[in-house]
Formats: sequence, C-alpha cells, structure tokens
Amino acid sequence: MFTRQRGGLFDALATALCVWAGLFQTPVGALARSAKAAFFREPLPARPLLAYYSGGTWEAPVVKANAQDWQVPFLPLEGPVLASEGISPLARAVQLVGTQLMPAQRENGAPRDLRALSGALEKASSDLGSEDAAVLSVFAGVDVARFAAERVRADGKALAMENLLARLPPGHEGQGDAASLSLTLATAYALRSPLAAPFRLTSGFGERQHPLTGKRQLHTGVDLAVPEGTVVRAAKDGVVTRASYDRLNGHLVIVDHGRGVTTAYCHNARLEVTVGQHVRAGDRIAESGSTGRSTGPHLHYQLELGQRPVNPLFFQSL
Amino acid sequence: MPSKGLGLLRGFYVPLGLFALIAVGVHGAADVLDDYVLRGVERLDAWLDTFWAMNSFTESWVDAVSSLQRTWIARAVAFAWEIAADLVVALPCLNYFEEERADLRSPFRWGALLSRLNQKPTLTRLTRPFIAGIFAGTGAWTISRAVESALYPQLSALEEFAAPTAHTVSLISFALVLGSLAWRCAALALMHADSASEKRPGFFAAGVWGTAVVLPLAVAAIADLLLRFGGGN
Repeated sequence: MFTRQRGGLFDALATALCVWAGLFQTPVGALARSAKAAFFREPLPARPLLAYYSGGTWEAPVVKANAQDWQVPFLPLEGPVLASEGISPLARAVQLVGTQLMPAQRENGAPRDLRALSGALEKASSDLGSEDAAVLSVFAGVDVARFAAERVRADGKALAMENLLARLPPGHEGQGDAASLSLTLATAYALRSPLAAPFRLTSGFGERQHPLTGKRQLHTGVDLAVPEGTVVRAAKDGVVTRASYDRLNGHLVIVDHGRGVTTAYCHNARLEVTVGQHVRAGDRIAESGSTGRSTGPHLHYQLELGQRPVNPLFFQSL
Repeated sequence: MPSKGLGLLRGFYVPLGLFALIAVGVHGAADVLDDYVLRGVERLDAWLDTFWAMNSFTESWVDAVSSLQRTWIARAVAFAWEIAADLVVALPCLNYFEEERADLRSPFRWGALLSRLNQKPTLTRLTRPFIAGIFAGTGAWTISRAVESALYPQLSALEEFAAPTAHTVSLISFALVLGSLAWRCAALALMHADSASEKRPGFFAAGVWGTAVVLPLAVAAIADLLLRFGGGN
C-alpha cells in the first residue's frame, strides 16, 4: 500500500500542507525554524515559544526598565470628559494604540478623528457582530476582519479576539497585537471604582519604603483608606480566580475581567465570593479590613494589564 | 508521470508529513488545556502563599511569583506536555517507513494485528490508534482552516467569490490530508502498539505512561471539537 507509485502527487501535496502548517502553527515548528535561522545566522523568525499559548490577549512586553517607565505610553485619559462627549473608552483606546503606541499597525483607511472613529467603531460592531471584530477592522482592514468573523461564526465560536486572531491570514500578527492591546486598554478604561463610600488615597503606585519592613520596593497597587466593613465591589464583570487568605495580603480576591485585565483586592476582613464565581460590575465581593501585613483598615487595589501591575489611577478616576 | 515519480520518493516525505500532522493536532489540544493548567497553577500558588505566610522566615516568598511568572510557568507546563506527547505519538512516525513498509503491503499482517487486538487487548493496543486518529483528524481540520485563512487575501481579485473559493479549497485540503495521511497515522499507531505489546506479552498496562501523557490531550481535542460543532466556545 505505501509502496505503490500512484497517488504520489496527492501524498506530496498533503505532506507539503502538513509541514507548512507544522512549521508556522506549532512551537515545535518554531523550534525548527529557530534552529535553521541559528544555523544560517539569520534573524530569528519565530514568535517566542510560549507565545503560542497566549490565547489572543495582549501581553506586556518584557522590559528591563522599571514599571513606571513602562507605563509612560499609557498616558490617559480624562474618563468623565470622554463620557460626557459621547466618546467610548474603546474609541479612545483604539486611537491611543493607532496613533501613539503602534501607529504602523493601523489600516490606512481607518478614521483618524476621535469622534469619527467612535462612530465608525459603533457601526462596525453592528455590521461585523462584535466589538472585537470592529477593533480588528481598524487595524487589519474591514475585509480581513469580515472574513475572520465569518469563519469564526461558521466554526460556531464566539466573535472574541482569541478566535478572530486564529482565523487571521498569516502576516497580520502585528495588527492582531494592536487590536488586542486596544481591547485591553478599553477594558481598563471602563473599570469602576471598587469603593462606593468616601475614601482617602494613602499610598500610591510605585517605588516606596514599606511602612512595616522598611525595605524599598515597588508598591504594585494603591492603598485606599476606608473604615473596616466597607463594601468592596467588583470593578467590572469577570471571574474570580483567587479568593484566599495569607498573612501578607490578608483576605484577598483576584478577578479576571478578560482581555488581559485583572484586578486584586487585598487586606479584606471578609470575602463574599469563591474561586470560579462569575461577578458583575458593582457586585459585592468583600468587606474591607486590615488583615495580613497592614498598618490600618484599607483596601489595597491592584490593576494588572497583560500580567503586569500598572497604576490604576492612569485608567480610572478613584 | 510526476505522480509516479513522487510516489517513488514517498519514503522521504511521507514520514515528515505524518509527524507534522500529528504535531499540529497535539498543539491544538495543548492550546485548549493550557487554560486549565493556568487555573491549576493559580490554585497551587494560592495554597503555597497560605503555607509560606505561616512563618516569618518564609513569608517573604508569598509575592515571589508574580502573575506574569505564573502564566509563564503554566505555559511552560503546556509546552512540556506538548513536547512529551509529540515524543510519544508523533516521533515514531518519522521511523515508520523503513520498518513497516513491507508489512503494510500484506493483508495477513492486518489480519494478525486485528486478531491480536481482539484476543490480547492491551492498553496501548486499545488506545493508541484512536488517540493518533484523533490528533490526525483535528490536525487535518486545523490545517484546512490555516489554508483558508492564508488563501483568502491572495484571492481578493475575485471579490465576492474570494471567501467561498478559499472555503472550498480548505475543504479539499481537509479531505486530501485525511485521505492521504490521517488514516496512516492511526494504522501506524496500531502497528507500533502491537509490537510494543508483543515485547511484554500478558502485560495489559504496557505503555501506560505514554498513554497517561497523551490521553488528556486527546480528550481535550475531542471536547474542543464537540463544543465547536455544538455551538459552544
């Protein structure tokens, strides 16, 4: 059966397809391409091996500079102003990415004006079936986004960025990254305050001398002083990925909002959610307190984008 | 004529195709499982944090692993799992031609294989062909989707016919890969399982470790496929 000579063309074609897909769609293929590049002293062509599992959410670049330097491009935002002018956080995020952070990835025909962009995104969301596809159309072009959306729909999957990126033609990886980053920023811009009651900012984000240990270290969130028992609410819809206690963070909740955005709430007196629970924006998740390594009742509120802590004040007015 | 010439060279390229096909299927499954691995790592980290915080000597380790590092660990586990599965299922494909070519021509060989599967079932004989078949089938599907996505922009001149044309070509490539290579993966896996089982006669659990590595991935691949056609995510 294997030695008969007929059908060789079909076998060769099938093999070519498999080898092509194996080389460009798997980490093993990336290893092979990297080995070839190293042998011929060419620039490395492949994505980092572990990026093959990224799931379509934007990831912070690995940088040696400290976290504050890294945040400079995210200069924000005037949230309330945007809302009053009818400009969505999504449009602001797309504008920021398309003009300042990754301008080369923006499709030439995409509107430059913020208000026009806002309207175009709304229309594209309705035409293409999702916000994610609309954002993709700004960077990869309407035709490519429409094609990806149609194929994802035919696959029976949701029109989420992860699924859309899996259906992008090769060579659009940069546009895919820009679209993912836009969604991440838009999600962060749409976060609500975790506290409804009045509070006082007692320690900001950044390098500081720890009040108990005396060591200089990065304070990865903001401390908001509130009376014990104040209700802590989810900043946005999401899934609880951690609800635990330890002697440093006290009673701690982490909520994954999707699109590479997570928020953490530490030093609570009591938790009201469990791991895996879906929460809506504004849902009660805990009562604040002073558990763990804490000098008084407060909420340590932390925001991470692409698995890196960033200053929440850049994205929401607390 | 070219087909005949290529048929003569089959021994050089078909093993590569089989390996790549399985590798694509395995990666699809690992990509499904990596989210679950991440959840496991998060739970383990939460448990360890509680443990480290119990005494002052270890409490500084509580924040030692950032969420970036936890994600990295989860992905590294998924990658290691994928490579291990490739070693168990895909790598043997590279070696098949030399040792199996003559045997595969013989219907007696197939009869003997199936008879031993029936009379002396072992874990590997029962599972490996199905697992290889699953990876080959899901791999063929992934490849057809990649063909469609790659072809579409090249066909823009066809305007409204571009998408249906790309889709049709992708279906043809799916059928081509299934008909040419996918079934060979399953057949070959049965032969390898048979020879491994014959080396340890009477030992049902022969190859249990390899099966333990690849079975969860195969289940994930099937579950992903069922969810897809069932309209889920």
